[in-house]
Amino acid sequence: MGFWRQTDGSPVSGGRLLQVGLRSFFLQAAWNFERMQNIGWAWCMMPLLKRLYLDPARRTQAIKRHLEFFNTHPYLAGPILGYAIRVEEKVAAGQGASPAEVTALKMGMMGTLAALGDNFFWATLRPLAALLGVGFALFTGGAPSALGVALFLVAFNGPHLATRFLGLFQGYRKGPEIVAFLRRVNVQRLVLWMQLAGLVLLGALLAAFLEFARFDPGKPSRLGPLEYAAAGAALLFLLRRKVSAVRLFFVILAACAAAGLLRG
Amino acid sequence: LIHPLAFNGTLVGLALLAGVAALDAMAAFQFMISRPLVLGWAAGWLGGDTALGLTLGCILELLWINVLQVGAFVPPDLQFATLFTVGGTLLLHSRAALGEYPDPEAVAVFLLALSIPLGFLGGLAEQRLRRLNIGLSHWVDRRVEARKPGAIGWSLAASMTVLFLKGACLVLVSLMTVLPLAGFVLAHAPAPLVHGLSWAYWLTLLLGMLVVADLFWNRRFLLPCAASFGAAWLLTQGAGLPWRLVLGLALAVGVLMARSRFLLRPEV
Repeated sequence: MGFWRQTDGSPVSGGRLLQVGLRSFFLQAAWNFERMQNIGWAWCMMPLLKRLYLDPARRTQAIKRHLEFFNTHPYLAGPILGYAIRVEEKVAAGQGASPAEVTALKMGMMGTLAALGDNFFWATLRPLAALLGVGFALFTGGAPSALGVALFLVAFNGPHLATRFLGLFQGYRKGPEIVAFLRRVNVQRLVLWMQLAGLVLLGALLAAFLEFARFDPGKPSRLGPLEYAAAGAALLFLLRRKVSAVRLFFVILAACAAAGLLRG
Repeated sequence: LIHPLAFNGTLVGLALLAGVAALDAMAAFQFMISRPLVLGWAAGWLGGDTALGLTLGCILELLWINVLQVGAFVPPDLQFATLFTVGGTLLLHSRAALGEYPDPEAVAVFLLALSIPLGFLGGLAEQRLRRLNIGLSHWVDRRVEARKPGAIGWSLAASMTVLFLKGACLVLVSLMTVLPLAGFVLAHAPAPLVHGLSWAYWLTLLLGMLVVADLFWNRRFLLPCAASFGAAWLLTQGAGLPWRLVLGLALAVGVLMARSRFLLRPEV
């Protein structure tokens, strides 16, 4: 309770950190090619900078410091925000930290966390959650189910929100130790497990697809399993050779239109 | 030609949805409600056919599963492409009662083909907005120097408003101009050609699944993937209990092998 309503005179409390966390949802709102997330970052820091620096001149210097270049994974900005707030607190109180340290920690952490977040959230968790959602939406029998949409959103946003807010609070609490803590998380191993889960799920979905989309005289848009198998093998071969999905879609379109015209 | 205003309320709903999706894609929240799976369902709900909307959303989600706005990379506008395809299919399909249009599967494939080049235009508009944000960033610098830090919040609001309007206008204008023309073309296309297009519908879903296979591709996991396929395939064919047991065991062994033999050993 004490943390939420700070009583030791520090303006940093749980409530204020929560406010920063909520503002981090807009970190990329004015993303630009020059300084990228700078405006969003400065906006996240504003509630605390206002209270840490009561002297307008020092406050302006602090805000300008946070309007410099910044770019990281939006969900993993939390640990950097938390750590930066901790250092800013020391700078404002004159407890030995220098303003250059704030910039240095931002620059030092943003690249590593961006790579980590891109690998885990964008390249693995989101596709896996989407695959799960599609599987539930299309292949659970009967009409397509909106449960798949709900499952996708929950499976993705659970880890997203936990990372965003826990990262912020832990970043503030642990300070420099947050870097060592993040190093200990074996994301690569987790990604491998998720890839395995994705491929096992995909195997089951491909089998369900053959049943779902099989030829039916009443539904002339459907093909036979052998035709799907041949097309699938050819498409996978081309995808593995880096032919883009969009290009392959147009190839499918042209081939199907030509086949339709030839069959008359 | 259908009168552009004939689509009325649904069109406005789709445009508002496009505005929200444009924000969620990168600027705000990123809850992934801007993904085709969610947008397809929402557009289907607006258009009065959630089943068709959701199926189309699933196809588009798989097709573009590895496409996302990350950092400086600006892909084609997926939110626009999804809403144009799903919304357009439902709007044209709702006219099918008049006997003018072919089945929704052919319409969806045709509109998806149209939405891709239009989506590239949406991507270019996004890049333009990000360049405008550079000017906004300089304006914020000047205001902060003048001790007016409130400009930071205002600049975020301005940027998001423009982004919302971009998303909404792109969908509104495209559905009002391109959709009637697309409907005209489809209504007058030769029947065998349209029939051919409908084959592409299921093949596009298959392509989407293979995009996922390509994304997660790892030779060490092909055995569990094949075991899972075999088990699911036999189960969907109504296999008897002994077969199910055998396949369940095979699946468990496949996963265990992957864990002990492959996962713990670093790839050479």
